[in-house]
Amino acid sequence: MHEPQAAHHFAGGARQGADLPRLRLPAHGPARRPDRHARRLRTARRRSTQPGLTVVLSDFYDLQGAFDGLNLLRFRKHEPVAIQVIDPREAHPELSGLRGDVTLVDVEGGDAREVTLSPAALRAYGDAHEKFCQALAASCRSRGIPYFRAETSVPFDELVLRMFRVGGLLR
Amino acid sequence: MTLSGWTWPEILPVFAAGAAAITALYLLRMRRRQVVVPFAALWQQVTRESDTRRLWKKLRRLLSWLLQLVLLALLCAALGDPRPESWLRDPQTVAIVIDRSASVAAPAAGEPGLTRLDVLLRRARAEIAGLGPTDRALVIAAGAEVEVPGPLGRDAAPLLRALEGIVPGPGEADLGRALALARAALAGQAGGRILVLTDGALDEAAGDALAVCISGHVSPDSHEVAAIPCQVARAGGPADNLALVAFAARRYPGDRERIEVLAEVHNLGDGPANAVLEVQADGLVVGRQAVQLGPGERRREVLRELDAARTRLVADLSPGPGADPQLLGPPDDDRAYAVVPPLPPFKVVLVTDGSDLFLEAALLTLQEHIQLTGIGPSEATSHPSLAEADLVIIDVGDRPLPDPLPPGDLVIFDPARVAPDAAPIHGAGELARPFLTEQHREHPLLDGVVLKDVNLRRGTRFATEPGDTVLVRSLGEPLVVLRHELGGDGRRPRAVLALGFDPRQTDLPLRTAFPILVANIISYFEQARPGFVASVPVGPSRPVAAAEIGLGAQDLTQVEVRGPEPAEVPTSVPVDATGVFRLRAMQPGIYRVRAVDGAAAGAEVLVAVNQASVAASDLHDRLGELPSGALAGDAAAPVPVRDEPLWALLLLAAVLLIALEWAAYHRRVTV
Repeated sequence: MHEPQAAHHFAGGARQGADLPRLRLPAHGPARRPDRHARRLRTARRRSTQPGLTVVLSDFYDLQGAFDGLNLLRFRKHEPVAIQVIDPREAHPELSGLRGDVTLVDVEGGDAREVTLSPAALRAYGDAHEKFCQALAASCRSRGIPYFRAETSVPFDELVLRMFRVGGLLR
Repeated sequence: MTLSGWTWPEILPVFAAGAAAITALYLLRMRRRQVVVPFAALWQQVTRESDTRRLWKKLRRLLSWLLQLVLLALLCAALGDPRPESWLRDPQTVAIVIDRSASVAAPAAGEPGLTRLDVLLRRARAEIAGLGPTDRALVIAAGAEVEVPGPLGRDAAPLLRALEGIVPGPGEADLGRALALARAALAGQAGGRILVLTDGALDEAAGDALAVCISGHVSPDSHEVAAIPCQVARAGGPADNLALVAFAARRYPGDRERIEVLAEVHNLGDGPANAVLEVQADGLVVGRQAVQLGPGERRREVLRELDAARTRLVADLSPGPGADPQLLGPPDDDRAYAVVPPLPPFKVVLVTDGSDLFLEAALLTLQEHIQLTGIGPSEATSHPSLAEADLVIIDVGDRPLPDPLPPGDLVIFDPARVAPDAAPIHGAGELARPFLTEQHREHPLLDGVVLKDVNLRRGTRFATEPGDTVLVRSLGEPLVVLRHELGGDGRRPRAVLALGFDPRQTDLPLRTAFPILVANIISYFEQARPGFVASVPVGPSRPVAAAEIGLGAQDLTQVEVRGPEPAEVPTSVPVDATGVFRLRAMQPGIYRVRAVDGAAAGAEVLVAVNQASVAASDLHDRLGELPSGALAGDAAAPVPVRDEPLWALLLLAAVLLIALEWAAYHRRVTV
């Protein structure tokens, strides 16, 4: 249940069809710390010399620093766009059929945790995940950062079209 | 419990291996499945648990492990096929004989609020509950009548239901018939055994019957040994009891409209007791008397000069002021009934030559309650009234006595005058001008009779025999003698009063003493008349002579009995040729007896039925020490199931546990 960790940087304004420089981040980096997003976005800011449109694709799964990186981009006169990529099974774990006593291991390392996954616990996780996403969306909206939630089950072109419609580029 | 399948050495290794396997599986199950998640921090936030919940999870795993071990234990136990001891022993057939006499209504020792019967029934229930699947039992209730409320059977339920209907009854326990019935029921049955449940307060006949049963003999006179063991379980208690052992009423012969009532109270307990005796006549209190009695003391209370218009009498004992009600004992003997008996005319036949008008006149004044018939000396052997006469007075002067003399009670004036040796009381010689010098003043025949200065022309002295009562003497010579002897028929006892003078040869008829003497004679013989029935004791078959309760027995073949009041359903009872019928009176009270046919057809009389038995009221244990082999031990431990094999139940329990765990798992209770 791991989404790709990549950020696309559109330097020099948002022009449709332009040859945009791309910034790639390692798909599987070292063990993440809570401020991993902020750290990577600081890296992206250092590499981009001119302000412009910056599209950030991430799961934003960071309880502490999920929004700090976006703020940094704003301070550097970038216009960040947040696209949160979510696996539906992560948003609704009760649909996964996961039950019983398991050891949860973070995909990016860290301490394992023994838990008993009951239906109540799965529902609680789904609720917490939804609150987390809503908090992120609310933070983006309050600062004028466009926010999109992209489920991996939705094709990419469909996602783009939806973003264009929301942005008023298409009707 | 005994294992009839696998033995313990075979079961234990199986259990040990199974337990080890289960434990190993639980240990393996501790290695959890690893799941890789992208947002472990959120999972950690959601699944954070308290220490208590973690402890409960550990305990739940422990309980789950124990549950599996219990399942394994049940399966291993089922392999052993356990059976109670009572299932494996030889079949038994038990006759439970329960004493339900009046005494078992008394309190039990050390069991507050329980009667002796309650304790006996509890023992009977335990005995029935301990029966094995092949055992059989029957319940016999031994009261005044023997009943079988629980017939021989293997099913405990009807036997237990039968015990519910057993209550104390008045009277004594007829253990002789009950034990004979038990022996007959067990004859030919495998493993027969008689269990007698009693409080030990038995009368002599019941005690003898029980002793015979314990000794193993068939009957007291038989040396034949019955192969049926007989055991006794006792439930005694305090013996305090105050009982009404007699209650009767009678009319005064000289005044048919007045009665006197006698009540006798007996303290059968071991300590002093006081109570209040109250007598009611048709619901109206006619007498009330406080009685205080020491241990074993009995007292008679007589209420005199009561109005005979009231015919139903009830006597009640109640606790005296401040007295403990327990001292009265069972209630059956605290109430007694009596009816005012009918007084049929007293039939007197006077054999006379007609020359003694004074005697005839004295008798005629009593005609209110006597039926007087006068016959001449020539008819003195053949007149039909002689056969029915209650008293024959012979006053034939110088004529010879009738030969033979009538068989009943006799009063004869100057019997030895003609033939001294032919008289029923032989004459011993003539006395010329005898003086009446000595008289038996205390005798009722001479009550109020003054014989001073009576002149006699002549008299006859008698040759007395041992047992004779000399009422009047002349200078030591017996002149008036009363003798009790067998009658002329040689069977019925009778009384003969011989007066050794001729009333015609004395001035006694001119004195007031003469009619008094005649009235005393009539009263004496009237009160001594046989057949006066005060009350009938309770019992299933009490013989009652119809004539004795005032019902004409002539041509009587059937009577109808109703009672005790207010019961109205009649029971037809045959009357035999002698005028006797069998009264089934199982409860004290007043019964009504109606003649169906015969000369008295349609006539109805009342009969009082009372317990009135000292043996039934005595609460002391009279069995004494019994041989150790005759004492019943504790009942076998009850078996929770009767017929089904226990291994099937064990498997069923295992299946239920599995179903329970399955439901708990799928309801996410145990995951």
